Amino acid sequence: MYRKTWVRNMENNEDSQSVAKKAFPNPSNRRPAASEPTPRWVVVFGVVAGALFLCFVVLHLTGHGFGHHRSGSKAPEHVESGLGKIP
Amino acid sequence: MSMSPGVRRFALTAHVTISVGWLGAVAAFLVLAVSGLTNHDPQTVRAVYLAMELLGWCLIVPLSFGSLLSGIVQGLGSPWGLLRHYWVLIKLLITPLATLVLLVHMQPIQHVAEVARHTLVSRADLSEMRLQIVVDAAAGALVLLVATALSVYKPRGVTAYGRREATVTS
Repeated sequence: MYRKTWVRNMENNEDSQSVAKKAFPNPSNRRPAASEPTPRWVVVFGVVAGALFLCFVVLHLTGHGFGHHRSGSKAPEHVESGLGKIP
Repeated sequence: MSMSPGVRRFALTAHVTISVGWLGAVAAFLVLAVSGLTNHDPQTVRAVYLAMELLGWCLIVPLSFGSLLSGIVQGLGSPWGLLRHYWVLIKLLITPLATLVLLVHMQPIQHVAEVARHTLVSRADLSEMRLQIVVDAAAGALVLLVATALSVYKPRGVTAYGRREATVTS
């Protein structure tokens, strides 16, 4: 009984989805206006992402990023000398 | 390209599994990176960086490519499309960028792992590079969280291409 109801519900759901898709190719079931402005969340996202990317580029270009050849990035001395080497 | 509902569900399941798996692997990587930076025991630090190298090459890199590929298949085969909606488009930009940055930043991970393979790494050794790995892992986790949130919320917004396409088909 429960299963039959569940299957019927699923079929109905599938049917309504297919109809919606045929009526509106847009899956959000809303036909977009011809001159719809860019959503605010896209603008905010773009500004934040652009600012972060600029920070990343500037830090790397000015050498303030985490360089590979800075003093703190040196490999331990005993790597070259062989002292403390793990057998 | 249009997929049957069964194939579409299978592709969606694969995409969700791979993408969330990628996020989980990066979270595990972040935990290891923090542990490697803060732990005092040289043996533990050594084990951590060797595990991170393995995790990176054997899990994170394949999952990143898998997520990109399955996402493209999902976009092409579903009514959402690849370029019709802003949230899909942003995910399409984020994923290859994250994969590229990941591949570039596998170099310091490999370097630290190489050093750890041959010697005991103390807290002072390679400190900046190890800090860089923590920051990279945190940034990666954040980016993947954003992508996951976009997939779940699917915020509205049709691109100019999507509007043109909708006008042609209606």
